[in-house]
Amino acid sequence: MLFGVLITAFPDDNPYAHWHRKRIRLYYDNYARLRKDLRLDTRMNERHGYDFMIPKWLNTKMKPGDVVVLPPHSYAKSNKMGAAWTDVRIFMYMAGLRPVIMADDTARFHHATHFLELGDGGTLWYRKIDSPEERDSVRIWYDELLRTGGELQEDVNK
Amino acid sequence: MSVAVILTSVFILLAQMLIGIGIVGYSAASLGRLRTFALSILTGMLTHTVVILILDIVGIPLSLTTVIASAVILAAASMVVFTRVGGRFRLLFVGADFNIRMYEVVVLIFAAYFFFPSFFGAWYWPVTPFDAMAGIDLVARQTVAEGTVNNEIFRYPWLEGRLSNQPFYAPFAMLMQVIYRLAGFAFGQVWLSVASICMIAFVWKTLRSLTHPFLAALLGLLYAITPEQYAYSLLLQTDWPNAIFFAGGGILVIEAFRRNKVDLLYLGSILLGMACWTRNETILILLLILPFIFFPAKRLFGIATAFRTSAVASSVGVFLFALWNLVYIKTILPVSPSFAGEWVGFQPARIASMMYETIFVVLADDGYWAGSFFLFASTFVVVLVQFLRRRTWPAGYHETLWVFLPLVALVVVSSLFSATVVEQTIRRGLFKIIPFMFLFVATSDPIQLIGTWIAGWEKGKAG
Repeated sequence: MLFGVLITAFPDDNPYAHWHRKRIRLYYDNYARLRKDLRLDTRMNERHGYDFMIPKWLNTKMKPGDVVVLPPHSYAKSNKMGAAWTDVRIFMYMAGLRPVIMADDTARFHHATHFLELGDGGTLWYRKIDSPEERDSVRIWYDELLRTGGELQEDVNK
Repeated sequence: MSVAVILTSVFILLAQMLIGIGIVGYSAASLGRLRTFALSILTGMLTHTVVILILDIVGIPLSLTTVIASAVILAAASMVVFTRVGGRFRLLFVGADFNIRMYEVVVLIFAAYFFFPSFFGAWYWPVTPFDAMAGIDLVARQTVAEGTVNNEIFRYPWLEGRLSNQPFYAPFAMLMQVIYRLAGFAFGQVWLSVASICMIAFVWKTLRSLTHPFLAALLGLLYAITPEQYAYSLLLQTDWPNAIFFAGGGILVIEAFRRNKVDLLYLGSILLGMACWTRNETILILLLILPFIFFPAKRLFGIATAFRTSAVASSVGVFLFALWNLVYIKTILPVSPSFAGEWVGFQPARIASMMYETIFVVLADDGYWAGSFFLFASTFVVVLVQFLRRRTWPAGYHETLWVFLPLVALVVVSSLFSATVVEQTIRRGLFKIIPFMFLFVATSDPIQLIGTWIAGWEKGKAG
């Protein structure tokens, strides 16, 4: 009874009640639903969202020889499309070892053959870089996004 | 999850327990049944991972066959040791009664209710923490694919210069991920819940030896549901496994001093050394706390034993630290992390500000610890007032010391590295001191008085 009170009394101010609601009861409430679909992709999707979906999608788009420059962290964040996947380690954790480079990777930027453009509502475009001039403009754009914390894209979208 | 996965993992777990019995068995009579089994599983897990890395060093590919065969061979070797300690071990079962009270059954039911989500979550959900995805599990997954820890992650050109220090974390958690992924668990991780249950059982039984079983059950459950710590029973990080071995060792050292049991001092020293296999900086923490083991040991057991136990702790720690950091990383892996840039050295002002933040920002945040820290803090104030009136310390001396000792050592060692963030690095490092807080509370005068009162009330009822 003591513990029953401990985890339910003063639900707004009691850290045990908060913990119980978020960590324990939530599981029991959702247990039946979670047990229904045990596919690994569903579980990854539910936990990681865009951080899993985008690398997986990109994996289907990439062809041998493609080198993709991932967008800046803040750009993905400001478009509400996750953010962790813009780190090459997380990208490769989700999609396997792939030739991807980070937006701030100046040493490897000249290898980039493709880049990503993000849009509203989870849309994204896998864009080919056709010329060194275009690569430079992508680099300037990403640099600007890195500098402004992703604000530029919001302005563009407006 | 198929039956084959369950059977495989249970088989590996049992083999690991047998491995651990070879290490823990000598102290079995002093530990009691539950604590012997809990510590056997924990030490067995760790020993198995050490041997797996050694197999990798000598070029044997890591596969499920390697994992099972090594576990079986180690368990058999452990039984050779066991024949020497078997007598002590049998004492656990000769005339053993199952001494459990009704209120403890209620608490156990609560514990099962609380820990089912931990097991389910560890099994169902993928690895979530950024550090684990960028390090421990990134390496573990590739190890499973390639059969060696020295895998493509460390030589893939597109990752060059981007690995940071996460893949080089002490290898216990990474190798446990390898074992459980090879056993068939899609995300590994389930071992975390197993280790958590072992630690909680260990702490609960220790508390039970210090105070009335009813209070021990309450304190044990409060310890188990400390929110931040509970979260890491299903979230893959190195801090909670580190706390398990460090606090486990510390608890045994304290008990050795309290009960005058030299076998527990040796076992505690081994566990403290083993903690260096779970986080690299533990070697520095261990060196800082070693004098606080050496001098009480010298006073109680003589200088030879004090030297021997300190040598055990430091040699186990140094061996495990060196095996990963000097042998594997420096001579086998093609890349190694650079800690030189992170080293800021001993800075008293930095230590003071980090200590302030640790106590008044992190520990005082009840969202992390719920009542655990406040229970300790309020008991400490009462004990302090009693001390000022009586001039004798009304709580366990070593139990008190070991709350502050790892705290100071943790903050001092963490302050040496620029990458330390109090609200993250030290916050999780505090898992090490939470069990000692509960041990302190259990040995304090107020709790002892309540325990005596309950025992008297029970006798009255029985009479």
